[in-house]
Amino acid sequence: MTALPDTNPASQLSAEMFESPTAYAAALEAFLSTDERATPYLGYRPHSLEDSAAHLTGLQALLFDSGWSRLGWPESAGGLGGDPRFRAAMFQTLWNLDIPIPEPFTTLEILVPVLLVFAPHLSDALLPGLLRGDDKWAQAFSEPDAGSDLASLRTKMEPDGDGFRLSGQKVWSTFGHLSQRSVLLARSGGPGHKGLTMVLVDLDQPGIEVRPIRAEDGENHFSEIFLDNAWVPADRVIGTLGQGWAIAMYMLQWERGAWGWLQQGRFHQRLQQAVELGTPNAEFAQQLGHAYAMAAALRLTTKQTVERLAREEQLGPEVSVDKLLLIDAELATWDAIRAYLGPRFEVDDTLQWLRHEYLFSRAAPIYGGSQEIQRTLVAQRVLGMPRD
Amino acid sequence: MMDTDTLDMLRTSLRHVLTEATNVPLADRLGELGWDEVVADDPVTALHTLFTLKGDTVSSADALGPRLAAALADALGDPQLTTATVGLESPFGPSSLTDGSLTVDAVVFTPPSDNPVVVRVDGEHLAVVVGSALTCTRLTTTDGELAQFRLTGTVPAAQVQCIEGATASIAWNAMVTHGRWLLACELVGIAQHVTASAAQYTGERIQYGKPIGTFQALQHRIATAHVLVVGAARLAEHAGHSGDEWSALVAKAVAGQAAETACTQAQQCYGAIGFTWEHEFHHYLRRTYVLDRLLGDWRSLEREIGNELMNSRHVPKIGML
Repeated sequence: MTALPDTNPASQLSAEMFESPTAYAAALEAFLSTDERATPYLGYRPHSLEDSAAHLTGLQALLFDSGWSRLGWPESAGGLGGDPRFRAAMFQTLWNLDIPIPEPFTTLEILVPVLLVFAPHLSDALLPGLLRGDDKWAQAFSEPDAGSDLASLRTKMEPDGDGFRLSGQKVWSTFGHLSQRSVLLARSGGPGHKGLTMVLVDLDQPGIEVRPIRAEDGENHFSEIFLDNAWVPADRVIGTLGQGWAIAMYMLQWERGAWGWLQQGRFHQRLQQAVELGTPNAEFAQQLGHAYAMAAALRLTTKQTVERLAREEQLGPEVSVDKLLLIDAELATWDAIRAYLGPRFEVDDTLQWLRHEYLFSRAAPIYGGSQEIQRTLVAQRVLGMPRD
Repeated sequence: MMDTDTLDMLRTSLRHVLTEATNVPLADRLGELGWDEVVADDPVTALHTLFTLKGDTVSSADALGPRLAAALADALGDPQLTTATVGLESPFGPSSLTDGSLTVDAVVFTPPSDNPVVVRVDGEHLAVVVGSALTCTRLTTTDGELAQFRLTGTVPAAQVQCIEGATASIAWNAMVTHGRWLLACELVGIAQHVTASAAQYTGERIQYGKPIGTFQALQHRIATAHVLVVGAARLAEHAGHSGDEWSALVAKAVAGQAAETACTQAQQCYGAIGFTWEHEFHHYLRRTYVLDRLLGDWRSLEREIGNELMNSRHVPKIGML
């Protein structure tokens, strides 16, 4: 399949790990739980999003330099080969060891598969830096007047020499203020879907201002991005002019499917911590049982999605089912945890990190296409109910 | 493993067997299909297909009883018990073995004759007694068509074979696990049928000059049900392949909930016609209520899951990449 990363003496990868995600996950778990370089990340509890970003960059470098995070990405882009199940196995392993997933991993899980297909020159050149944590990217699709109705976005993209100029305003860019670049959807042509183009723009340039937005949990999860004649060279166009909407739709299978697998690992891990922290009480048995059952349903459903992605099947609107299950599982899990841990959940200093995650879970039915949008998609595109 | 064409042919044959009007027992009709060979060849696919179709067609044939006996016989390593009738827990009272006699109170799906009946006594042992020693009464149930019978009676201990200790518990749990998986498949079959049928109906029923399925209020009801049904289907598939106790427990919990949710949402989409016997829906609703109660209703099973998580302080993961 591929050459082992023999340039790096730290690598503990062996040929058999390339055979199965299970063997890989077991070896990665052994590495992370015994290598002292991984110790700072086990059970790490961030004080803020910015602290977390700085601290976990070290984990990204460790995982990249020793080869672990390069499995599941093509060799052309600096990976070691293997299908996306290896990435899914890495996420599960990190959760098993109570290591937070570095935010850039979740972003690149959504953006890079798109680049591999529509702009391989960009993924080939930039994936290693992104995987290693040297480079951080955001995603800028939504606008103040274009949330669920994404196709109505207005950020202008006009030709200028051997590139384009961008003007407008983006919002809800996860990790925007900590990123050097952003994948951005802009209007290069007329109204509607067909006038949209996707580009990769440098954020550290005159003409771009990024302002963090404080979210419900008190952290700067996302940003507003103001563009005033910002520059993007022609070779940073992803796909072709006017192909932006089609690419955004292609992206959804990763955003809704692979993302769900990543999150189920979190829910299982947090339920595990809750049962370690709490005192058994029959009053909460059904609520915890329900949360677990939903997390298990999400796990098996997204497992199948990851396996389909690994076989390079083109997924359709059924990925909205994964997203809807994710919402149900996420809300059920956190509500059960909060109920089970009782009044101390609100006031115990040692549970601050868990409270933050609880508060952030309230976004589940809103981000990435609201619960209502997903239900409409499932009804019309999966179940064939009539469109108005 | 069965290939797609074989599976399609099997589905067609099974659908016919499950829906034909006849008094011939299901086991005999399946026998004509060469069912035993199909099951021996690929038991998980065969049984999953049969029980999902049974839910889809609301067939009232007793497919479950023989499977419970087979699972128990297999777990006990006693082939003679494949002809047994397994008496499930009765809502009217326990079975117990005391003072030299066995008191039976149990529920079955087909009346026993002179074959063995196995019941669980005092929550731990198993008692085997000949069926003709017990009184069998047909129960009136929420589902008028799926027959259930109550077995009662007191039998001298000398006529009872008792299976004790871990052997009994392990075998009974294996039977429960097998039954929960099959019931999960059947409930998923019901839920899939009801969801698809209601979605189709909303495309046909016109009000205010357009199909009522164009209204988001109804779209979201059906989508909500569908999501749970997909999750339940994945869990039921996994429970079959893994055969483990925990997976079957979780699968039946989610399947029961999915079927109830699907029925609730579908009922509202059908409106008044769905409330009548002129529509098929009532069969599915009644069947859901009855099947959900067997081997633990979904709320009880969720409590069982939650208690296990709290007491073991361990959250297992179902399914590996």
